[in-house]
Amino acid sequence: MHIKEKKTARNEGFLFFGKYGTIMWLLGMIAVFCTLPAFRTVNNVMNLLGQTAILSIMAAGMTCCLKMGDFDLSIGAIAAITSVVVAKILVGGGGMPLAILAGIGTGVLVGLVNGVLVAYIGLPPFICTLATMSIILGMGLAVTRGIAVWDLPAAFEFIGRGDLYGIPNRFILMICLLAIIWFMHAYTPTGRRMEAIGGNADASKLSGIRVERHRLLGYVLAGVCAAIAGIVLTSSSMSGNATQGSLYTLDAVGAAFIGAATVRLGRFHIWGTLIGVLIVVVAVNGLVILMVPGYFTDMIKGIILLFAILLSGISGKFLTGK
Amino acid sequence: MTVTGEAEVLLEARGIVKNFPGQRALDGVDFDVRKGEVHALIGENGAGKSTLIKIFAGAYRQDQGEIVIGGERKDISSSGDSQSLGLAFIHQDLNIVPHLSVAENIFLGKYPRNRFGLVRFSKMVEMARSIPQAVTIHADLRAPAGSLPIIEQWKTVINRALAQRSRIIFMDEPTTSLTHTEVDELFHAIADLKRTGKAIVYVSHRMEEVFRIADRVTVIKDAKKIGTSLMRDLDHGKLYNMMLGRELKDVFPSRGRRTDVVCLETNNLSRAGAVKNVSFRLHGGEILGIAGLVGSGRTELARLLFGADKKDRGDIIINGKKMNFKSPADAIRCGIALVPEERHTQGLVLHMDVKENITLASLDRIRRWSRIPVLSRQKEGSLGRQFASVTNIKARDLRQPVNSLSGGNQQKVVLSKWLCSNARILILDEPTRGIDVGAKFSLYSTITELAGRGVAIILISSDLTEVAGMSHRVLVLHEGAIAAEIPNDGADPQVTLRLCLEACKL
Repeated sequence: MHIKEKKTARNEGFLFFGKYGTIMWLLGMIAVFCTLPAFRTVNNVMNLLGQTAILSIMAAGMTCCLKMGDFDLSIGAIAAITSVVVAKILVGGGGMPLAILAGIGTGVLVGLVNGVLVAYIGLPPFICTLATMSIILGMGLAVTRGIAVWDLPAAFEFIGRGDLYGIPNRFILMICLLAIIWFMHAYTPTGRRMEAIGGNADASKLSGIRVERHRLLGYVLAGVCAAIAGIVLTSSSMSGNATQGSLYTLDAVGAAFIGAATVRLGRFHIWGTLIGVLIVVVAVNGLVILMVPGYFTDMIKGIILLFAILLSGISGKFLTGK
Repeated sequence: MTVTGEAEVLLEARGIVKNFPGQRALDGVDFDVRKGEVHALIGENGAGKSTLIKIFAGAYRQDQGEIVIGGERKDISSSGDSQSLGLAFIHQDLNIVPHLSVAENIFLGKYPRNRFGLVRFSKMVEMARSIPQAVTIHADLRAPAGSLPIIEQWKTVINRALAQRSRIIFMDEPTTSLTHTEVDELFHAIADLKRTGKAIVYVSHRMEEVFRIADRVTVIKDAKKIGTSLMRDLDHGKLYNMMLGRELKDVFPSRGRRTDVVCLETNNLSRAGAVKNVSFRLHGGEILGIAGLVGSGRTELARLLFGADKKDRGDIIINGKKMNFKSPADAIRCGIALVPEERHTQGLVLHMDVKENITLASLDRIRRWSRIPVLSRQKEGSLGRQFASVTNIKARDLRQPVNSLSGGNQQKVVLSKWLCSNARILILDEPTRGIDVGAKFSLYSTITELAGRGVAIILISSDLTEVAGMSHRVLVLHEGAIAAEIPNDGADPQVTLRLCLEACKL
């Protein structure tokens, strides 16, 4: 035991930076960007909060999967197909409650398919969700023939564009959703079991946890979150589009991994993921204000993601497939 | 040719100490090897044999003590050092590259080359034939090594050691995968090696073999050397006592009486390739020992009873009701618990803390409100404290992650998890492996105490002294079937131990 302790003593400074580095990074970045007048306007801050919402909702679902060592590449595609489903129903006169229910139902359905294929049949998560991603995207494009669905009823605008005392509704929705997922992870038997599965699936099974069922639930949660993000996206753009949403997948993964490099090193958790989302959103926003050409932002996101994975120290787990 | 005290000392280790986190693996061990001898190194699993071997092999570095080879103090810090000092190591898995030829395996990585740096295969086969004092391989040296019988693969690896001019060859449990005739052949080869002045260190736990080929024996127990002795001065009884180190009766807590209630009964329980027609009854308050060699189906039987694997045939009857477990969750609902063999990979969630691990199998017991699935931190804490004190866990506090605990305390956490879930039938698979002596005895008394409260216990162990000292009754498994049932109600566990040893064919 003394070997381990010696090592930690030497690395204590590094460990502190490792734990709180991402938060310091976020605060530092905000401090620097605050010197830009365009960054600190109320308008821009509200804009930032709004952008945080969609990505956070998606990343929160992804976190549920990652927590158990699973991975869902199809979340962006789920958001896209949800957007098409919701828009088609609205345009067809189906009404908002039905459209929203059908949208969430789509997320549940795809989540179930992913979950059954991965947890029960045993396909590798990465490849399996890559395949479902492609299938869903294709379906969305086939249904819409690649053309966006416009002319949604104006009332639908309130989710993505409305606000409460200036705070965007979608940001409020995000906070509620994150709080629910956090509560589930921290205070329910199901959340505790998910945490255990993520730590050691074999030991969890031998402790009487029904591992497959919980992994399935992880995929369903990822699907539902992606669907909700898709609904928000549809409402923000007031269009149903089979191509929107896909770009969020990579950002969501990046945010979750930054989260795993925050406070509880190597573990995925909701508030860490939120920090990750804020880092991505603030960085991109600041760069845009600095008039850095758009094609640099992807590069910078990639670099942030690499750093996060290095810091979190979990890369090995995913490379070796658990 | 028998070696006496005058033979040249090839290797001498003095006062070797090796610590692992939370555990002392070797505690001042002396060991020496002489020219032309077979020196057996015996001791139970986890006693420190393999740690000692790994220090010679350069895989570990000793914390204290020195190694003298050829009269000089040497530093072994890598496998290369070890090789150049004339030490060779043959493990059970043999380190053969199956698709390469026998000759290539002999010269693995050190092929003869021509002036263009290309491998000269014809030269290699020639060289393989002319290794001085080589053991004869009954096979084509150009054939892929993987196609040969295991014994010829053994000889290939022995010849590799000879080609490297090794003077001491360490063999780790060599007979595990060999048939009877192959064992004879290996022993002939070993005798030949002895004649040419090589020394062999023979690691085993099979007494019979040790008596057949060893000239001297060193016994290691609980990280300490018990003693080294010439084999001709020993008989079976003396060697057993060396292995035990003390009288069995004084070591183990006294058992209570078993009840008449049958908790668990199996009828012809079978699973292909693992368990064959196992039938037995387990009473409340009884400690049923299960002995047998590694691979005899002990762990597989435990997994069947726990629903971790599916049975092919036969019945499991719990409290008079036939059960068909689909998963461990079903078995746990019937009050069965398994403390698995590998506690790191199967027993614990290492990053979670002590109380979270203890309550993992009883999350429904720590709900804040009985109907609503929300956890109560307060109930979790009090339940965790309660069961941590039952098994006497030594931790700074219950929020300490279990990966920072010592092996013994980790095992107590696994046990606490099941006590917390109110298990009535407890299956313990090698519960004391890799645990220091103090924690061992603390576990023994907890186990006996539980049995006294009516819990039925199945104790699986390779440590026969433990099985003989703890159990009311011992089942010996061989190739998946019950080979013997040994009652243990007599006064002297030594007798039971001897019966177990015979039944296990050690």
